[in-house]
Amino acid sequence: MSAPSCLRCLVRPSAGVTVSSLPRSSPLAVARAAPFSTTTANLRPKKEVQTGGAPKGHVRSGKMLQLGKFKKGKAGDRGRTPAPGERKAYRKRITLSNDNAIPVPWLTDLGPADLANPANTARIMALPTEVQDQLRASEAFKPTQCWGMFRKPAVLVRKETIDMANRMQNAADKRHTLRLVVSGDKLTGKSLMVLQAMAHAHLNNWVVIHIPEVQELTTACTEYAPIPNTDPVQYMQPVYVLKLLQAIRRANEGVLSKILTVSAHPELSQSMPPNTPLLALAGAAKEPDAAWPVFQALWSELTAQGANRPPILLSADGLAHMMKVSDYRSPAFDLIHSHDLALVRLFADALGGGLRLPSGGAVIAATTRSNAPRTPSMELALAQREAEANKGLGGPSSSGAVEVPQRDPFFRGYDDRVEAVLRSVQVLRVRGVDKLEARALMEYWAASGMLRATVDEKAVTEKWALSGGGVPGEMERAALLTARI
Amino acid sequence: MPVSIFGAAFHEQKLVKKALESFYALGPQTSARILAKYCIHPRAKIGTLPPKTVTALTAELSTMTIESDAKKILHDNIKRLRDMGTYRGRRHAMNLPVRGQRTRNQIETARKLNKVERRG
Amino acid sequence: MASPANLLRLCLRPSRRLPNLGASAARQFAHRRPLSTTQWRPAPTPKSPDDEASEKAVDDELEKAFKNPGEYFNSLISDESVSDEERRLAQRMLEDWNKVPPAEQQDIEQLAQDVTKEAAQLRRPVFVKRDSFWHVDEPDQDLITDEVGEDDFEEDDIMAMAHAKLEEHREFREYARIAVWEMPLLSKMAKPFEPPTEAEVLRFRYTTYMGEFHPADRKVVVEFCPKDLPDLSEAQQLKLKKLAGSRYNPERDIIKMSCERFEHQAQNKRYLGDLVNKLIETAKDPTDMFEDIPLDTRHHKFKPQIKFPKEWYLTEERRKELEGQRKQALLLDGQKRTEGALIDGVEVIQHAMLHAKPVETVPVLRRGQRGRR
Repeated sequence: MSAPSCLRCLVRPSAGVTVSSLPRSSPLAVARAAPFSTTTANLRPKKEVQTGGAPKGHVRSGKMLQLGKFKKGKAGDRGRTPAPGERKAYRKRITLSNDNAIPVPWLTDLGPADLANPANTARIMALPTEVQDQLRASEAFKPTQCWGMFRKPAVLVRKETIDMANRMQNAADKRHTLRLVVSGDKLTGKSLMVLQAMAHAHLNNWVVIHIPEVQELTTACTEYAPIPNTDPVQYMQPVYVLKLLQAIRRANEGVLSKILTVSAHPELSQSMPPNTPLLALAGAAKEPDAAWPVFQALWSELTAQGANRPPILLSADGLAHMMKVSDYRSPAFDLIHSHDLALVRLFADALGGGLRLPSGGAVIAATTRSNAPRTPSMELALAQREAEANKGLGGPSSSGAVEVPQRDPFFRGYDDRVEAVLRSVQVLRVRGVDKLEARALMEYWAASGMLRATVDEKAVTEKWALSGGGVPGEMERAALLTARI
Repeated sequence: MPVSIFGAAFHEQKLVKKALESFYALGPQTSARILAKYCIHPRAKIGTLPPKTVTALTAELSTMTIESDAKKILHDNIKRLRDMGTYRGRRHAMNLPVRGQRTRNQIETARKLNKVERRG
Repeated sequence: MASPANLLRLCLRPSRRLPNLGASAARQFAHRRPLSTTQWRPAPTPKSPDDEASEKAVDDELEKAFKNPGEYFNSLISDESVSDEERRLAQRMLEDWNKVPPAEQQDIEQLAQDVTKEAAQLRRPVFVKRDSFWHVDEPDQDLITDEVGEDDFEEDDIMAMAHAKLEEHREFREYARIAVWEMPLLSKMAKPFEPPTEAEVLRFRYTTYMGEFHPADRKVVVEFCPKDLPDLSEAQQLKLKKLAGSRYNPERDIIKMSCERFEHQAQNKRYLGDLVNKLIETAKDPTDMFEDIPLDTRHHKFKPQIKFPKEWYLTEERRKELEGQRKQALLLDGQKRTEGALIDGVEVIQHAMLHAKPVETVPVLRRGQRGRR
């Protein structure tokens, strides 16, 4: 995908190698330590003749030709090794602003109703700073996206965005739950759709709970433990939930500080009397062991009946990982289904309609085409929902053309639980942008100094065609990431 | 700070799976089962394990035939072969290939490894 | 009159007092062919000494007669044992002989002598050495050559390949003849084509190898469509298709079965007919209608029928539409240019560079060492 590194940032921030940081035990230091010593060189330990790798009784033992002694040694000192986690942080760093880019004068910030306003179609609008911080806290930005090329992070408002934002708004107004799956071909902007949904939610003071990569939950790379007294056994993921709680805290600070708890939570180690702000409740977990009960308490507070709660947005990126058997194993060495992991179960129940959000809200999940396992049940379910929706829209004229796909009667890999979850979701298919939106994008890029070309219809049509009909990721590849000067 | 499992010390950044497999007669299958039994994910590091789990692992390992127990079985087998006077026993005693390989060349591995007190 | 035949008659006259002459004459005639060039071969049957003597006597006489006819005739005339008729014949032959000019007489005598001399080799009896192994010492009895000019090509023959080519040409001509003269007569045997009726549901295919015996000519293949079978409801037809399994082609909607179990075509055909009847019977049987089993078409790969999309045809309307779009685009461009809203990336960069504030250089403070000011 896109190149994440900025030319300026090649140097590691901690690189400050000075003379003083040289290791003390270098031969130079030793030599300096005793310049006028009368000790002879005889005391230097004799170097043993290398006999190579052959043991003593071998036919080839004894002196052998050493070709290795002419090899050059390691090229100098490489500096100190990075601290644990530093490499990962460097790899996953998000740069949202680049001072080399030219500031675009006509760029306006997003307002609460902007993403739902049809008049804003094919407009680039910037994310306000608070929303930036909130999105960064919940890891909505990805390192493979091109944020670091522009002065301010900005998004293109597409017709799909407006559609989705309006649906969210309707759901919130009516206190229903919008259950939406964003799907489409690769590079069409599904993750960005979720980001825009989150931005809309933040701007409208919703509570946002985002799972940036569902694969971190199901590929057996975080701690897991069985929750006692559950039948069938559910598993919690304490370390991940702790991280998630911290992210929720940072992202929803403003909103959560205004909501007060309704009930006491005696099961928590810390005493949480009623009428404490939820922010404190979320911050009650300092250890992974305490994370899951705190999360449960937080969730129960957020979905408490009768209390005046804001709408909740549950979002996730990478739905396919959630819709299959995970890589975890139970103590009896059976593979654990993803829906038996407690956090995933919460999401799946919400998506399936089993979980009621009293103040309304939305559950939005995006599929991913790169790095997704084959999930025949999910693919079939989404195809069926789309076909049903198209049938409804098209009316009698298109009913014959679009057939609802059926299960293959001779295939045994279907998953009933997954089909149950996706039985009544809505599907938003993200396609390529149209010419107007493409033009807006390219004008923004040109105005930022990233595109050295006149943005007339010819250029726009050219890039639109090159990207397979306006696929935004391909347009970036074709226009932004080429180093033609 | 090194954590010791079943008497062997491992630093905190060591993978639990690797630490378990470093024991004689413990391989990927058994280690996977042990990890599953205690709900440890395969990429866990020893530093993340609570002491309770470490103790449980040590207890688990002590119930299994690994290390010296397994070696004892092996040595007993070879000794039995030799005491019975079998061909295989003699080959072990003479540091020669046991399984019918050619002895004209290529017997270095046999010379190194085939002993009555085999390393493993 | 002066023919060799008459001469021979005289030589072999019955008045010669020779025993068993009549009996051995034929045999001897058969054996002793005076002017023959074929090697004499001893007969397998043993001869009595009488026979041998008689043969030798005849031989001598013949020699005498042909070598010197004049003297022989005179001797015959003066011989008393000769009959009158024979004497008269001899007289006549002597007169004829004397008419012949002496040069020719000498020639004839010389010829007879030459021939006898030539044939003497052949007529010499060859006695087989019974001790030799496989008769290796036997000279080749068929070799009658002097090996000079034997292999000379007299320009009177062609190679075997050429003969074969001619034979081939003859074959072609044979078939051309048939094609021209006999095949038109086939039109008399032509029958008008009657397409199969609605009742003929089964279509059989047979194989013939035009007279040869071939193991594949006993195979019979039958094809039919389940829809054509009479009195089958939709459900029964579906059951029939499920029973047929991979013999059913879902694209053409035809069940095709073959049989080559038996030795004769008729047997195979009968078997197929019975099989079709059994299928229909089972399909009509209401006991188990296989409702829960879906029709399996995995054995057949459906060919995707790809049609060119109608929307992509470049018709006049579409052309006009595109023209309109392009015109609008140009107008939009022009409008933006006049407004000044057409963004040119290069210009933007140049503008920004011109108006960029100079970057203040901030000296980088080195992190001081501990203890040093």
